[in-house]
Amino acid sequence: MLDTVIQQLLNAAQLGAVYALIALGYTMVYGTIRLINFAHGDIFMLGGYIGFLLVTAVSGMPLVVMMPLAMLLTALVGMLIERVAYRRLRNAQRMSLVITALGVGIFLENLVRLLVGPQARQLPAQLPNGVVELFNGVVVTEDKILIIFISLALMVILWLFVHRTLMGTAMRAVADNKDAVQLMGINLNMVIAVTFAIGSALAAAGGIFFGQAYSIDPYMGIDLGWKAFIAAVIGGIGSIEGAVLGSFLLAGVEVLTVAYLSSNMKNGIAFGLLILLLLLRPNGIMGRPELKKV
Amino acid sequence: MSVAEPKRASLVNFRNVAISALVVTALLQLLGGMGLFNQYYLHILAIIGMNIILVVSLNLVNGYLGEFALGHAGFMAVGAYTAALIAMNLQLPTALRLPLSLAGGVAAAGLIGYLVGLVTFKTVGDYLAITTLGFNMIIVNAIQNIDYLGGPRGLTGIPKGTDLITVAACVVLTYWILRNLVHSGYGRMWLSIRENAIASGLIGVNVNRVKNVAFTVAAAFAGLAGGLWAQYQQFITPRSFDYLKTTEILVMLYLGGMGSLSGSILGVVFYTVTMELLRNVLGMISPQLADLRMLLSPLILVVIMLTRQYGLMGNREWRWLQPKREESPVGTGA
Amino acid sequence: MRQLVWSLVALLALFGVAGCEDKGLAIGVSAPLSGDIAALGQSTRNAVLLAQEEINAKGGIRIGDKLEKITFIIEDDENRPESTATVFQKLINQDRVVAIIGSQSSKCSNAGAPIAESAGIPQLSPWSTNPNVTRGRKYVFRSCFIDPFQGKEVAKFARDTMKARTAAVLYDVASDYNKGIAEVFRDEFARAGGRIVGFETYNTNDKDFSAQLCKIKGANPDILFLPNYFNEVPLQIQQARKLGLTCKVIGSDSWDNPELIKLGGREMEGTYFTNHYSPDVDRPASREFIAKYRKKFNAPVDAAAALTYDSVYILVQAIEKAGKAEPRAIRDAIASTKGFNGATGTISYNGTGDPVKGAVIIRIKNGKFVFDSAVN
Repeated sequence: MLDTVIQQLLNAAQLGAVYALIALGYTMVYGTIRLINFAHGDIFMLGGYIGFLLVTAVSGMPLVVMMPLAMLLTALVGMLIERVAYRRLRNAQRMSLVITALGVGIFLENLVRLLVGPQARQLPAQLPNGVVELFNGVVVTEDKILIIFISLALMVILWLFVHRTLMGTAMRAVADNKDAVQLMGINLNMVIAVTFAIGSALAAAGGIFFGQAYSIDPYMGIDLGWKAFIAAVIGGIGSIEGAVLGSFLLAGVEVLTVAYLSSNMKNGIAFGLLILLLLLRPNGIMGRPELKKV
Repeated sequence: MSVAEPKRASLVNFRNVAISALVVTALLQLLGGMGLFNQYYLHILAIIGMNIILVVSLNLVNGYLGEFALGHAGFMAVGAYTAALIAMNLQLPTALRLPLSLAGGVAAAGLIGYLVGLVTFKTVGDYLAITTLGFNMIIVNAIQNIDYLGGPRGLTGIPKGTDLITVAACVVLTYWILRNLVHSGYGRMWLSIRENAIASGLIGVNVNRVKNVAFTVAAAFAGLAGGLWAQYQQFITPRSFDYLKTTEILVMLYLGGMGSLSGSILGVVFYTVTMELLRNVLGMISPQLADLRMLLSPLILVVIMLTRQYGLMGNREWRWLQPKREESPVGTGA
Repeated sequence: MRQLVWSLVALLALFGVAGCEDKGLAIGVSAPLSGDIAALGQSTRNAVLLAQEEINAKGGIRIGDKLEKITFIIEDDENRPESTATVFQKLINQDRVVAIIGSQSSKCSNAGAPIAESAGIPQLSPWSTNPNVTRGRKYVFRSCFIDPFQGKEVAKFARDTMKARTAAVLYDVASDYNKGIAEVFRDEFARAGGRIVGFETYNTNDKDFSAQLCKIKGANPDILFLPNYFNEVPLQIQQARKLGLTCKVIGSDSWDNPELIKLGGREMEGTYFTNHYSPDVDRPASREFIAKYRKKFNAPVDAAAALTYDSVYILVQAIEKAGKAEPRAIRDAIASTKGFNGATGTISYNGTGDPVKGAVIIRIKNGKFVFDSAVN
């Protein structure tokens, strides 16, 4: 009994780690420019594909080279998208930006479908794949543990970056008050570009892990993007800690619903619980209630 | 010098446009039946009509009320399945089948909308987006698990009830009701909530109740569109009502312009026609190009949003679709 | 207002031009070129283009005593019922096709069928296995077997040949194909004296099945049935093995794609699935098709491609037999097809839209699909 519970919790942790890597990008972009970046799920997909193409082009490229390279390239794509499609609309009504992001997402999906093909692909397994027995009966594969730990490490690095560096301080300042920040001589465009770059790089890491643990296809970003968006909102959108917490919570609810309630009604029950949670905490777990002036 | 000569009433007003629209669609339907007019165009017109009902009704919540609801397709599903069950299972005379099934769909969707609204309006902003999206997923997931409703296989063999004339009549009716609602006291309250919910509360607007009226009405009309759709396509499946449909409705809404009912019409026409034009133009150039359609359409969308930030219409209205007494356009200053 | 009028004028003008063109004998194809099963759409188009090239290289299709070139108009239905309805309307009323191949998924064929039926245009779906698609319809055909037949055969195979006493099923509850077969299997396996110890589901696009597989592992079945698509099955088997689930695994015709082995690797060894045909059986028609397809597209053959290719030739044979390109006559000719020798086996129709054809059991051995046994 206990061993299955632990096994299921590990399953949830892996899923949650992937959700979190995407949700962080959502929440960071939201924090700075209040955009629900619906293309973010597709950036995640693109990251996975860039990793796949790198490994295919140079066979035997080790993960320690491929992953930073793919993260860098995806970060550049993220910055490019912000520059071309979002910057002009930054001061327009919020929803124009959301619809533009939706359009960018559909464009990316179809671009990858046409260039690489619609088939599902799997990244060659580069993580150690042995089976570890934690204690009697509970087995876990090494790649699962590594994925969870590398993801957590990336999140810690991000937290340190946001809270301990000048650029991170600037990002938090932009999140607090975009106008005042410019009066302080902070280059707003620069800060936003960096936000997109970091969010995209993390999504790329998620995409590569996903391609190692599962498989990648051009449309995989749609569902995972929505899930990560939901996780970010549950945690309190705009909050980094919240996004991580929300992701593990969503994954936990999903996995435990399947394990102990009913897999048929997974979406129904999981969302029912999440709605309940939002009713109890209408601003998410870590979200700050928005102050409104009358 | 005379002061402000009274303006001559224009012939282009809502009543005349509505009547001529109905006459033209009836005529086209008749010609189509005789094989003199391409049925494909009739089909596109019917799709446009049903999408107008969906988008105009969502505009009530997302445009006029200023909320970000993400579950419209869920209410469409409720209407579609209710109408389909009534049409298939009750032994109604043919003349009564369509109106009764549509009424059932509207009532069921409205009821579910009311209940969902009671819950979701406890949250605001993006949290409201998530709760509505959640309900959309719950509705679809529930239908998938009910074998009586066909589960994931969907319902086949729904009798054909909807034709272009029915759609046109429903569009005119929907537009008329929603336009008058928007210009009624409720409409003013929605706008005031959109501009500032707290201040509206202070001047005595029962914010949650007024919001829920908009939500219920919007859901009911989504149900109408669903009922029409079920009896038009004669086949429905739960996956047709998931968040992909919801986002399609959103795209048409914001493409046309939030807070403008005429914009919603324009958005739907533009979107639907562009998708079909792409199909035809690409097919004409080379049969190999059908692939590119889904690559070009989002590009067009992005370019339009970049060049026209507030959608095609912004929040302007076509004068001739407005009620007569209206002097200044409603919905400025989003 | 001006924009509206302008766009309508442009629309009508363009449609007018499109309608005037002469394309020879036109046949419509509705395929999911984009969307979640776009890989299948690609195979569909490949198969159609291959057949078109072959037919036109011979001068065309023989109608009466003259040869006529043939054009396939392939439209993208995005694997969405709404779009399929539009595609059918366009093909029938604008392109004036005499018949339609498609669509692939049952939900799309179901949306197109009422339109084809009321217009009196024959529709031949290569891949829609839901029994509802053809039920009560005169003009709608398919060239594959239906879910109940296959579910029954798999259950029989698991019980009688594999000697399994207990079985577990993991299937996609949101997809009609998977659910249809899973339920038939459950009933038939129990009827044959077996016991179902696990009946777990997931939702389309899920990639992590560990939670369900953990539960199944606890029930310790003799056999695991995975009636799911080839892009998901490898993940399911890999995850099952990682969790220490060692039982035998069987599947259905949705496995038939070389991607299965590419993605699953050696984890796929020793599994079985039912299929329409087996590439290694000495059937000239199958062998020839596979060779030509591989040569032209440098891509592996899957079930959708083979079934589409057969559908095209069933249709072409019917048109030649009818002796005129008239939908009603074509319909009658398809309905009376007997012993059509295609890439996926011998196909006959007797009265209904569903073909009479056998199935084979395939075993995966050394990374190849190998013939195991035939069922009829």
